Amino acid sequence: MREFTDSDAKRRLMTGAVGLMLLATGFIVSVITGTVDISLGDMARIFAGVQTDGMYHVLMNIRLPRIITGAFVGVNLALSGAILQAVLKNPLADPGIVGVTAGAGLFAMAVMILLPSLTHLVPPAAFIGALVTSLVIYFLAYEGGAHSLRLILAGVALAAFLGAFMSCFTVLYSDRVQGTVNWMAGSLSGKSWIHVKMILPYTILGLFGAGIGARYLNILMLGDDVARGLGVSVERVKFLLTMLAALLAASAVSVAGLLGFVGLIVPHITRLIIGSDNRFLIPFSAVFGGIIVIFADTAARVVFAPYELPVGVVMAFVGAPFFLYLLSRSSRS
Amino acid sequence: MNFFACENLSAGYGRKEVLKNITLSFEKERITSVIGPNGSGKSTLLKCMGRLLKPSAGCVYLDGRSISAMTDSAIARSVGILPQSPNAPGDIPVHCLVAYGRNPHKKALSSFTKEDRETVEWAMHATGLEDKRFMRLGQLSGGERQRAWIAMALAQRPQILLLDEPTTYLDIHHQFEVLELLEKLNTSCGLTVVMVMHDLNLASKFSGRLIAMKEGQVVLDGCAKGVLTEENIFDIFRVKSRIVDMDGSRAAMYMGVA
Ligand SMILES: Nc1ncnc2c1ncn2[C@@H]1O[C@H](COP(=O)(O)OP(=O)(O)O)[C@@H](O)[C@H]1O
Ligand SMILES: [Mg+2]
Repeated sequence: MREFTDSDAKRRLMTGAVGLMLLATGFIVSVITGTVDISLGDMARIFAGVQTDGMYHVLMNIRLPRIITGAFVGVNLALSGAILQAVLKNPLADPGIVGVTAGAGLFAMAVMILLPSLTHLVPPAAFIGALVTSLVIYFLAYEGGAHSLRLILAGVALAAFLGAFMSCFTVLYSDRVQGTVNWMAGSLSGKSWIHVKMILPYTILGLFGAGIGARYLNILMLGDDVARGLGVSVERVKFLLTMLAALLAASAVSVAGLLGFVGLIVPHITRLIIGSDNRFLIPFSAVFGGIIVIFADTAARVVFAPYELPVGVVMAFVGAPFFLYLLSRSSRS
Repeated sequence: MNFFACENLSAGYGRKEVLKNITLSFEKERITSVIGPNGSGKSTLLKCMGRLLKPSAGCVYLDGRSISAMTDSAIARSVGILPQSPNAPGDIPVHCLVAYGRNPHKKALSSFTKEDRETVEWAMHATGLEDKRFMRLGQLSGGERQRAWIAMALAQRPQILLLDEPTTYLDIHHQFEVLELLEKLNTSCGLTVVMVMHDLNLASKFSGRLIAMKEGQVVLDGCAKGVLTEENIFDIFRVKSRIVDMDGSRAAMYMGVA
């Protein structure tokens, strides 16, 4: 089948190979670096099950779940961003636009500050906050259809509104704010297998949903009228895909806190490399999302060791300048 | 035979009423052009007929069935519609755009069959885009891009194609290229075409029927000879003109508004 030009196919193959290599490299580097040095030999022996000392515990119960949680967080955020950028036909869209960040932030902050003894409620509270906020934004913006500009404006307005509540919390409970800083910046510190289990179902759902949705995303990018002309039930598809994106981002922030820039930048870079066809953009974004968070978290652990930075801080250090670069590029063209 | 019709159609945007009680029916295998001044409701009429806009009153019928009772994909298997200057990412290859036309024939998980592939081939062949299949939309000339969109709509295998100003922004060569393509599809495949046109002379040359709209109503409806007269053109567009008949086709020369 001559469905694609050779150069396209070659580029995808190359990108896929490089991606998998980076993923493997990131995984190994992340496993062996840290306060406890684990050699490649130790790693091999531990995975083979012949070495079961203290290092085994460090690797299997501390580093591995943290790496896997980080990878899934990256996958979910990147998928969420890729979906939203296509649905909103805006390459600068990210999960924050549908209120995930503001909603999760406010709910999680409320729990951390008002109920400091119930920190185990932070993930579900963030999750619910994110979903409720994105639903509210969707219905505020809906008027005979969900138009991207109205969605974006409603998202900005509601984020500012919820942000005001968060500012109130920081002022009124300034003594308790300290405990929220890590979460607000996005951190993978202390993630265990419980967190892997928490996020895994959404990663699976997201990969399936976005995989099926890719064809519809491609058609939505032709504009609502053309899409409807091609028999797509535009409003239903947009709603389902937006909610899938919200769900993915909600699951990620409920585990790792407000990790920004992944959902914005990963699909954007991926698009620059392999083009706007969502059948490829979606899976490649997922892989790159995992890679970027693994590398960023490794850097967060080791750059100022023994102190740890929240991974979100590293993402912002790298992501913000890159975002400005993308903006200047797009405004020039 | 009338297989596509609208009855007492009214529509608008929000509180603004644009179309007022329009009843029209279209015969199979003909080319019809809708003409009229800016803002007269031509695009709105086309959108209602292609169910992109829900009418506030009235109904659109396809083979005697109201389209409001049909699913989106069922309508799309019979009616293709191209809005005015559609937009797509510039990096889509032509064959991918054309393949999107198969969407109404597919379920969520069904794969691209041999029939799909053959239909896409046929659509690219019919529009003369075989050599351009791997070109990206952004690399095409305006006329080729318009042909690519038409190829996408053809891959739907519709019985009727609705086009909103398919020749606007094209130079005269590309205008003819697109219109001759539609004429060829009409004669060779029996495709019914309803299009919005601004150029009255091209509209009269290529369509058997002209529908003139003004302020949301159909004011004239008939063959080119009946509609394109000096008085009618002045009534609709407030432009003075002279009519020239030559080689069986009719053209207007515009003399100005004063
Ligand atoms: N999306 C819209 N929202 C509000 N008003 C619209 C919209 N589209 C068109 N209109 C109005 O409807 C009227 C008819 O528009 P249209 O059908 O596009 O005219 P035409 O295609 O004949 O130029 C115009 O007055 C226009 O301002
Ligand atoms: Mg118009």
